[in-house]
Amino acid sequence: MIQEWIAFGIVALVALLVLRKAYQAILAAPLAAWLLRQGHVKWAMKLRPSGEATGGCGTGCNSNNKCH
Amino acid sequence: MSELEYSRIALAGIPNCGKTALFNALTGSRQKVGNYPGVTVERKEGSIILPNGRTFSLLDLPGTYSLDARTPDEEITRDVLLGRHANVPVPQTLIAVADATNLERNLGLVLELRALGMPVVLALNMMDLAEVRGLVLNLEVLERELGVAVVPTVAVKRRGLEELMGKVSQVSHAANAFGGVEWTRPSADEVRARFAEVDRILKLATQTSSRPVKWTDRIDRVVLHPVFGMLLLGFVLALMFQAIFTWAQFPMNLIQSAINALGDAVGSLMANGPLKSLLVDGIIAGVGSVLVFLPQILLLFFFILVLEDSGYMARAAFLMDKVMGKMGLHGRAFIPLLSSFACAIPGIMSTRTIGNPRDRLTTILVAPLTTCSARLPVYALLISAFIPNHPVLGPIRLQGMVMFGLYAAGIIAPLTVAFILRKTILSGPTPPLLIELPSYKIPGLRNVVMGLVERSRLFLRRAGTVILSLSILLWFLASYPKPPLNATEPAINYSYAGKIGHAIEPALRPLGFDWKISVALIPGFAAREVMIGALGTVYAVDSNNGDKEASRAVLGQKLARDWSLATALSLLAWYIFAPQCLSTLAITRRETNSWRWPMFMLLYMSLLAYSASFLVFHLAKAAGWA
Repeated sequence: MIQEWIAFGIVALVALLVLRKAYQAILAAPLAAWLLRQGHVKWAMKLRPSGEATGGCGTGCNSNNKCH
Repeated sequence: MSELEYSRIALAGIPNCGKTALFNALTGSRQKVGNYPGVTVERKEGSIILPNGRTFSLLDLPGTYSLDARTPDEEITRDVLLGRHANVPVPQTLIAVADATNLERNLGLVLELRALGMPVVLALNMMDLAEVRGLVLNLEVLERELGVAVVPTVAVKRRGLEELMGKVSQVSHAANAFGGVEWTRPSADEVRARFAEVDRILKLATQTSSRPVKWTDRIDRVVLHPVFGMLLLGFVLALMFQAIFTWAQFPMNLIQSAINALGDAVGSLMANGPLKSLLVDGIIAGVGSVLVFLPQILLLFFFILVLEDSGYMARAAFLMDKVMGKMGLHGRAFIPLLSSFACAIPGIMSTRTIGNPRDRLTTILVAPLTTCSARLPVYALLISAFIPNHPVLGPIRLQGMVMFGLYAAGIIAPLTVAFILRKTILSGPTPPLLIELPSYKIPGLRNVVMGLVERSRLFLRRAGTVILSLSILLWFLASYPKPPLNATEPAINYSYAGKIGHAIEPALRPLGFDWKISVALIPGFAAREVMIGALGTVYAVDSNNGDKEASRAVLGQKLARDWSLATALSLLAWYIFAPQCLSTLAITRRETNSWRWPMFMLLYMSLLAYSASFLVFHLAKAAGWA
């Protein structure tokens, strides 16, 4: 029974991560763009793809000198 | 960190002058590869820390012959240097890299860079080759006439690097903040004047001119010969694919033994139950069946890197240009198509070197048809399971020949589709190819090793993320729900995977695919090689029903027992054409800025895959191989 719970826990965690990744890759950008067009800037910023915020970092961007 | 302690430096130069070798030599492992925001030209950045503690960030800009950009990647270089790029700050110091064996072609850009007004240091790269050819330069005169510091370097041998960084440190200390300049496209007279200035400077600075390289010409007489050159190219490729099978066998066996031992160890430590099944049948069987192909992938990249570094690749492009031109592809499409043998994504990204939009779009649309390295595990598994390893000619054996045939199909298919596209929806003239043939040289060990390390890292990351995740999910789908107590069929038939597979099977049955192949093709859309992991998991779960011998057999043996030769050949034909890579479709969407072309790509490749698979299966069946 314990084995089953641990195995299900791992599967559930992986399923969540895969869904999140799929959302980021497919849905996040068009959804954020649509929200922005509707004037919901705050929600658009919350739901945009997670890599977008750091995508424009300059050459010197690292953990010591974050650009945000 | 203060501005003085952290300076931004960029490397700029014409293509093939050794910029990337210099970048690798200066940054070592302290580098990261990304994309320029908004576009997908590779952006290589790294950092250098000098002994005095000063840190520089280094940016490797795409090669360009002039600031008057003709292609999208040249536009990146121009925009970064002129401070027009919204997301990349303008560099504070510039290292202009010039190929010392060909200064006439390189110094024009140096003069343009100098005119920008930012501090420039000229790295005269490949100085050893220039000296062997008898070139003697008066560096003081060159420095004075160019108005920039000059440092001779040999990037692949790490010579002159300290002096170069010393000069960079000096000039960047003296520099004021640079905010970009106004730049206007030069007139024809201005371009002529610039090249006259290059001639004048070289006359003054050259003490002894370099001799023409006779041995390069002698080798080229054979290598570039229309008949012998093509034969040699065919021989090199055949040898490469044979080596992929022969040389990789030992390390592959080692990895397979390690995976089996790990599976046995985990199996013996745990009591029977779902967690043990997840670890052994899901994770170890799924990820392990893909990991085993790492040696073959590294061997493929070893050959590509060595051929590229030696100068042979440019010759191969030159040889192929005539064929490609007849098929309506621009000569510049050769490098993107060649990159696609590694992965279609960098291949599609590198089409930015093609100026004409029609030529570029044609190359993007056919690039996924070339045999990418993700197909290699699928091909290798099916060939080793179904094709006997009979000798054919000397050291060449049947398995190597079949692999060569599949790679040949990966060359013929894109050329044929390109021909059809250029005759129909993308018709128009194709401009001629202008390509610079670099001198032959012995490949730099460091460059090759760094390339292989990077490739291993990418492969292992993929195995540890995409393949691992999908193996775990597929294990769940193949294991649940459990069969009823009075079950008469194998347990997997009652599972979600079994039900999904059986639902798809009728559509794929005409191709000879059973429900297990059908279900494995679905995660294969995330990445082609995931299908191997998926088959590994499905067969591991299926054979885990008390048949000890069946559960210990490697995947190839299980497939050979379960499938006919006609099915294996049909699956090979499917994999030549199938658009089984979502990332490729996504990158096509980004590069074409529209969903129209990736959808077109998905449709035409699916149609081709289905038709080819159908044809191969039924021909094989007619031949009695079913």
